[in-house]
Amino acid sequence: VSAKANAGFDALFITDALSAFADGAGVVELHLFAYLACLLSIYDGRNVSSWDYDFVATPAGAPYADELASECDRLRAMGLLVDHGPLLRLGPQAHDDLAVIRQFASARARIPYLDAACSAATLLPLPTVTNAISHEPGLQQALSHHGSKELLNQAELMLVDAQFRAVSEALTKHSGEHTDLLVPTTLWLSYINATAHTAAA
Amino acid sequence: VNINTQLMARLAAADPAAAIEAQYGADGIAALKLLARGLEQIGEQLAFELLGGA
Repeated sequence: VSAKANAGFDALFITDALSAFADGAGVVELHLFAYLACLLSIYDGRNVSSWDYDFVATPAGAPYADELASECDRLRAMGLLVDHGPLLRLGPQAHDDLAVIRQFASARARIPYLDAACSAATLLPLPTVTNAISHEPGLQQALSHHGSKELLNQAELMLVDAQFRAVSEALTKHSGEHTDLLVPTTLWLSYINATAHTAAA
Repeated sequence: VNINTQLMARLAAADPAAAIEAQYGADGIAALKLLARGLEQIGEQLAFELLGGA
């Protein structure tokens, strides 16, 4: 399955998930939640390359994926994503298409990560999620660079991996094995926010 | 890499999703996701009504 197909599925999934409890999904949120999902796949032991498309950090310190942006444009042109003010929603045909694509093996492999990322936004306020992602190690390093910078290189992966191991150890110590990625996701985001607050104080 | 393990342990102990999973397992997490989405919608509707919407 091509990177484009995966990026298209991610755009539809995130738009659908965020529309379930908000008015729709902003384009910036598509990139943000896809990036969070990619990070969660790394937490789960997958290789970063298995996400199939890359992210860069914008000069403002937000994640951005070219593949996702171009697929988003294509889906809008096809009417599968429709504008709803500043947000995007699924078009009438997209619900049926998404239900079919969800059954594909390549999509099923991504769903746990996309679902955990989007579900975190129902347990934590959206600005908390946004703020936490902007303080994750990769984006923090990117803020010190000028212009866009490729994310999740080896050095950044080591930093993220150290945080992920600490999350996993804390959860194992406290409540034993966890099966749903939502649990480490909320803990990791809360930890980043707490340390960002401490650093700012 | 500096990890504040004490802070992480405190947050893990206070994390509601972790507590629900420890107590109720996968079914509890599935119910939590539904409940959280429902509460978001109720909150939005209440805010809309407070602002004078129908």
